[in-house]
Amino acid sequence: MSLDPLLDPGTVPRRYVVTGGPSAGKEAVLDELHARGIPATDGEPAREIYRRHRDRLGRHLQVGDRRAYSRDVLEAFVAEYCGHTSGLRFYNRGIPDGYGWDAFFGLGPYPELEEAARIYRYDAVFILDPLDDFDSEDDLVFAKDREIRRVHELIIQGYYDAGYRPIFVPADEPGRRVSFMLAQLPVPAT
Amino acid sequence: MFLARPQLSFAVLGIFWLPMWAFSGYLCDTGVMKARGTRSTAADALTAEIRVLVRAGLPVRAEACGTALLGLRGVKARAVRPEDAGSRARALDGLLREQLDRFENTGLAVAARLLFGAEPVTSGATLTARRQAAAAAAGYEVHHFRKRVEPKVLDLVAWQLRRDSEEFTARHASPPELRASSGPLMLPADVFAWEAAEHQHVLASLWGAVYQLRAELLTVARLASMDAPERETGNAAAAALWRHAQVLAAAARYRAAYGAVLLHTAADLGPQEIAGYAGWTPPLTAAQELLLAGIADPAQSLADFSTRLDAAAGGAGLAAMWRRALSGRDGGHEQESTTP
Repeated sequence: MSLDPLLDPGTVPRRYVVTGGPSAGKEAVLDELHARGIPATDGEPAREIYRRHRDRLGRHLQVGDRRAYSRDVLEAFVAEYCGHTSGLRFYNRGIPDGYGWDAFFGLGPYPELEEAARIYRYDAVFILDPLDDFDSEDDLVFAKDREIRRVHELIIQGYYDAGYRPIFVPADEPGRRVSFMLAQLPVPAT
Repeated sequence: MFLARPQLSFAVLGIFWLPMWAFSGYLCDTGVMKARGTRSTAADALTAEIRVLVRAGLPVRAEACGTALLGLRGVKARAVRPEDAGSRARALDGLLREQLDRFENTGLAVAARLLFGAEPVTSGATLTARRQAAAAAAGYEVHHFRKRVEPKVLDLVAWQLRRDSEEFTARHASPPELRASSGPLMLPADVFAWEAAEHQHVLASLWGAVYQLRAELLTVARLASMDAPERETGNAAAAALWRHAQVLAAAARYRAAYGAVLLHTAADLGPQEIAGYAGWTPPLTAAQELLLAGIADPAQSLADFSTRLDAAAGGAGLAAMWRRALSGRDGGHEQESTTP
């Protein structure tokens, strides 16, 4: 399928989320999208916000700090969503990732997140299945302690909570994963 | 119109319709299709509750759920408010949809989703209508489907839910597992990974302090058993108090970062309760625990700690009480000082 109709800036905006837990291979997939000239998030806004919070606090985030961080990330997600006005775009995580973040720390969703998840809807959500080496001996020590799996599952739950039906992208090399994702995209009506 | 459907992925992967014999083989292999006599009561209860759930279809409503379903650890762990049945039901709804989207039997995946009403075409439909659609999708006559295939679908759903719970949450608080590693630890540049690593750091520090305390408690017990000289046992008890203070300080750091309950444990364990895993320690008042946590510094030595404790109001008395209680000796004549 030719991507040209989807990439046409004259078409209505179509937004697709790429998400998953750490070690799911998200960076490699986004790099592949960039390499193919497909519009996608550059970097991960949440990372810079996280660093800013740590720098400002001078320590790791604590219980009382997490909501403020979450709100700043939400604001960035909404800005990125609204800044895209035409054609196709893949997002490095989406607004409902906030549900997974909060749930990881035992926090309930807050009204702004609920509202944003309701208003700013993505056309589809791609969840990258953990890579095969997820539990390999050189991988994260805490992967065996289920920490990473919890994050992954809580992110998935967040998207179901927000009313999405995610598309699971099997573990594979980035090129094939991107091809799989592109094969799921709709052909725009002419 | 958006055409994306998860099941297309199977076609992309080259996994096509599996015959029924493969389905049966899978169930046998995974222990789902055990003889009735060997099935556990808990497994039967879960399947029975799923059967009730299917009658109503998705979305899951709390009143249609039994205690086995709502009590699944994977459900509780995902619920925003685990104490609330409605919240658990919402978590179960998401979990069930995910398990149906990841249904282990490819050939029956569409039928399973139709049966539960997870597909738009059967969402909100009666059980009869959902069953007819499911039977048609699976290529079976509806009565055969109801009698022969549907029970296997429900069994497999139950098995997937149980497996998820086993994998998702620790049954009890346990220290981070260690493994031999042949290369450096590489973290992805991901905020979730950073947070997960930070959580593991704080947790590992807490467990590290608990093991240090355990080591000292064992020494005290050994010395007491050997009827060692009083001074030697007293010194070991003082070392145990130092380690206990470090456990309290580590628990306080955990609470500040993550709250009063250990994240992601099935039981509502507090970090300070982990100290109990080291072994029995003399009961302390809240004020005494606060004092100990306040003067404990992981970077300082036992001598530094003892000096600070001696200087604190009530510190010497606390140390003497601790020594007596821990060593089982009346320390009435010993000096009221912690300094070994």
